Amino acid sequence: MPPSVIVEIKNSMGYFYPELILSVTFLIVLIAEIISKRSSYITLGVITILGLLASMFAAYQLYSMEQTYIFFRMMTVDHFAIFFKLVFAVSTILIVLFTMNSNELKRYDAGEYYCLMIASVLGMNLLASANNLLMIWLALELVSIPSYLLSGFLKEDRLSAEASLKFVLYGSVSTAIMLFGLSYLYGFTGAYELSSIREAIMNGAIPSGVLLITVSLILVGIGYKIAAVPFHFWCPDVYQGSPLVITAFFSIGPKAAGFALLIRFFYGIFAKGGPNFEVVGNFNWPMMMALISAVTMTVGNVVALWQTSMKRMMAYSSIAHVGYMMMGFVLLNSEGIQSILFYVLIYLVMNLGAFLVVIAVSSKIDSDNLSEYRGLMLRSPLAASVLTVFMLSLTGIPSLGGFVGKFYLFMAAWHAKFYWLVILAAVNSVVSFAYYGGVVKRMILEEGTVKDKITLPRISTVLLTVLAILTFFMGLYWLPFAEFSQQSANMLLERVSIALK
Amino acid sequence: MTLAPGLYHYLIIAALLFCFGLAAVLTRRNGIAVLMGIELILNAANINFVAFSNYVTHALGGHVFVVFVILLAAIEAAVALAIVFAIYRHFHSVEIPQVHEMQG
Repeated sequence: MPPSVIVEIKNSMGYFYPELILSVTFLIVLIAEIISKRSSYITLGVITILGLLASMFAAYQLYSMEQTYIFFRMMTVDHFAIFFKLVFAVSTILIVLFTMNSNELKRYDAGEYYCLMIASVLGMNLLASANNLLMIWLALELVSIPSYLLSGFLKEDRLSAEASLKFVLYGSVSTAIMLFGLSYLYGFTGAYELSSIREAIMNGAIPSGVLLITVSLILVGIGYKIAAVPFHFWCPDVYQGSPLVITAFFSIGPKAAGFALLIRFFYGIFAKGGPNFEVVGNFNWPMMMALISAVTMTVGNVVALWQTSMKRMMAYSSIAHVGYMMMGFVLLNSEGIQSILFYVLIYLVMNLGAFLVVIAVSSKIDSDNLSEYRGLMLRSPLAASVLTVFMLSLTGIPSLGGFVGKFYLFMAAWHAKFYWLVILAAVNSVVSFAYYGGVVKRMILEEGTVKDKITLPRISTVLLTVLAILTFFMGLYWLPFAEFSQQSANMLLERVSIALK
Repeated sequence: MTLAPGLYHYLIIAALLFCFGLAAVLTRRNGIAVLMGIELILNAANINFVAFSNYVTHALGGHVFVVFVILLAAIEAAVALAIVFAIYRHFHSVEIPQVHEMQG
């Protein structure tokens, strides 16, 4: 190996600590599981949380360092990527805390569970900073393959097996189609790296017809990852069949990673400039994406109306929220990206909060049917009242976090003159009140057949209270979060404009 | 006149292979057959990568990509077959229409 290669790898390692720590945690969990005969979800969970905290700390350290490319421009270490790494770590720590008092998984192997989860998080971290077609595809597979196994983790359960079959078939078809698109992108531009591909496209390397086909093929893979319509069919079934904690895991981490990829890929290849971007290539992708965004939020909200299963309802709700977030993506300015990042932060809190209530409640009532939530206010006042907070926040009622997030997105779209999209999104928010409010109505106004009390485990009580307070806090004093997301978005654009020179 | 194969021959073969793979994925009802369709799509992409790398960029980039794709295809097949096996234990069939308990 020439010395320059060794120097580059040595320098890059300094920026690679979050991923290195995750890999080491993976190995520690694996070995701990082999050594101790009776591995428990608590001890291995503590190891996993420590590893994730260390990785988060390492990522936060990088936030103040100079942004750079590492491993021969294979990956980028910029604020945008680090923002997502922090989001992945925080959401996974919460999920691991949920896991510790979940009854569903008790009978199955704790070591496998945590190893698969850490591997998936590692893939997300790589995906958030990938700057190269090969890296993008490998990271996407590293996120997906452990997810297939996690969704089928309840080996004795029919629905879980069905969920994993549907997930693996949809997932591998989508990523294979995406690979075919990437092969055209590589062949016509002769480059792997996002900025070199953009230069080639600016010089007219790809005829516009081929470009349209290529982008559509690639969009299949990215669309499947974020569950945008029409690539969303796997989402409700996988959410319903998977164990609840895993459903909660899927609803944040992989989707945020998909958004990181979507933004970096399209703004890295098919846009230039900043903070206001221009389209590169001879086709109007923002309009195409705006249509997908409109259809995604409408389908998500309308189909959610007649769901009887809580998990399926949350699946369609998450599809609708993907539609809202895509609004920020089509605007071609930094305001749009900032509002997506801001929304990801808020969505993390309110969505995981809602899932935590569902996990805590369904471990007692053993069903995820919506009618089981009747009269929950009398059975467990705490669970019912915090679930009310999260549901109203997901709808976007003022003074709660969800409202501020939506307000930022809507304002950004309004400034960019996407009036029709804003109006449609506002109508959609009203429609979404019908099903979110329906849950609240069942819990508070209706009477259930069963009346015995539900007591929540102490750790759930604490977590739920914290998340509910945070939802309020974000609705009243959101400035630090907004500034953090603004900083994280701005830096990506700086990177883009430097790469242009 | 010689009939030496050029870039376009490979691209056409790859495009055909992609279409066959997609057709298999969309029409076959057997889980294993769908997996075979996925393999066809991946290999279509592989042919593209090697052909472009040989005729257009004259570099090894495409070949490297192919090595990774082959590796990932093996991993994916292992995972998918394990899941199909689990499905067979529960449903005693690998026909996809019979594996359909969730709807809505």
